[in-house]
This record gives sequence, C-alpha cells and structure tokens, in this order.
Amino acid sequence: MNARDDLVRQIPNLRAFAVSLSGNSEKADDLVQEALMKAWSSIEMFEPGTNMRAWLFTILRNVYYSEFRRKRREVEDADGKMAANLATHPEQIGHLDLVDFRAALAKLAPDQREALVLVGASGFSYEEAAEICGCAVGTVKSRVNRARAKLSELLALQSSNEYGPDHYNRAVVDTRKP
Amino acid sequence: MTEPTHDSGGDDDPMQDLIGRQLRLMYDSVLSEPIPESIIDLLAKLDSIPVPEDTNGEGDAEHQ
Repeated sequence: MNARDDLVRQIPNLRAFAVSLSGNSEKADDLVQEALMKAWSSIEMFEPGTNMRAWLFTILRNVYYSEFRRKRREVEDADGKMAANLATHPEQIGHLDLVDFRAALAKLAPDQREALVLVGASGFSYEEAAEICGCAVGTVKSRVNRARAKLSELLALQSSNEYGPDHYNRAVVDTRKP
Repeated sequence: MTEPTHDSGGDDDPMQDLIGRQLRLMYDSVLSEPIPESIIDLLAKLDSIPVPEDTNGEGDAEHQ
C-alpha cells in the first residue's frame, strides 16, 4: 500500500479525532481538510512503514492549536454548542448521558481532552501519544489521569444535580448488563 | 516491563468504565460515518496534483 492509500484509510480516524478535539462536526471537517492539504504537500516527508495515523494526527493537532489560539473565545463557548451540534446514539445508554458526557468532555482543558482521546479511543500507546503531543510520557499519563478525574467529578455532579445521587449509579449498572 | 504502555481504562471502577465506554461510543460513531462530500472533493483535487508515484519502496502486495 502506498502512502497515499494509507493516508486515505486514516481519514475516518482523523475525523473522529478532530471531532473530539473541536467538539463540532463542521469545524472538525475544516480541520481535517487543512490537515489533509498539509499532509499531501509534505507526503515525501512521511517515512514509509511508519505510523501514518500518528503522523496525520500530529499535523491535525498542530492545525487545531494554531486555530485555537486565534479563536479562544469560540472554544470557551464550546459547551452548549457541542451538545447541540453532535448527533447522539441513545441505544443502551440514555440520551441525556451521552450529551452530558460530551458536554463534560468539552469542559476539559484541550491537552487533557486530547490525551484521553489518543489513548482511550484512537488506540495509541502512551509513548505514541507523547510523540504526537510533543511531550514526555509522564506528562501524557498525568493529563489522562486528570482528564478522567475531572470527567468523573463533572458526570457525578451533573447527574446527582438533575436526577438525584443514584442516577449515575443506575446508568452505570444498566450499561453493564451483558 | 511492569510499566503500563496503554491506558488500562480504569479497571474495575464503574465510573471509569462508563467514561471509557462513552468515549469510545462517541469516537466510533464518527468513525463509522461516510466521508463527507467536501473531503472527497478535496481528495480529487489533490489527486490531480502530481505526487511521487510510490513512496513505499516495497511492491504493492495488495491493490485497493
């Protein structure tokens, strides 16, 4: 498989990462397009046989952060927009729980959110995530831990405020049914 | 090597299990979407730009 085919194969993952970072499907696709253009124009820099997904993710996050610095206010307002913009999949999990989760995710600092997504959803090891983020492995681990702790706090607080303290316990028990 | 290399997903903490599941659900839902028109169009445009043919070096063992 040549580099170009490899690149195209990674597009769904690139989109998923972009959505997790930006919280907004439209913005995510803009990010993906910019990243693809940059990747394409520097495809010769890609070393065949190395991790295309990691390479693309690195490019995308650089695009995201340079946009992010310019449009800080938009990100701080991501909360309500995020919940409104993303489709939900009720299925086994209550509608409100997934919306709550996404809203909570949007509240995390971007570096914590991306660390969690990289190791918890995109399938990277801590080391790979560290390379993508340009930081130490220990930094990735502590960001992931802080992300998880913060989410835990936000989700428990949110559900007990709205539904009483047993709500999240019930949701957790329900989703654990085989 | 006892140092974990991958996220363990919170082991048996129900809240962390929930977080892990929600995260993957959210991520996977985008993963399974078809690629939007706008990106397909972009790829077509990029394709018309000459690119070094095979940067891979090895032969194409699989086509498509």
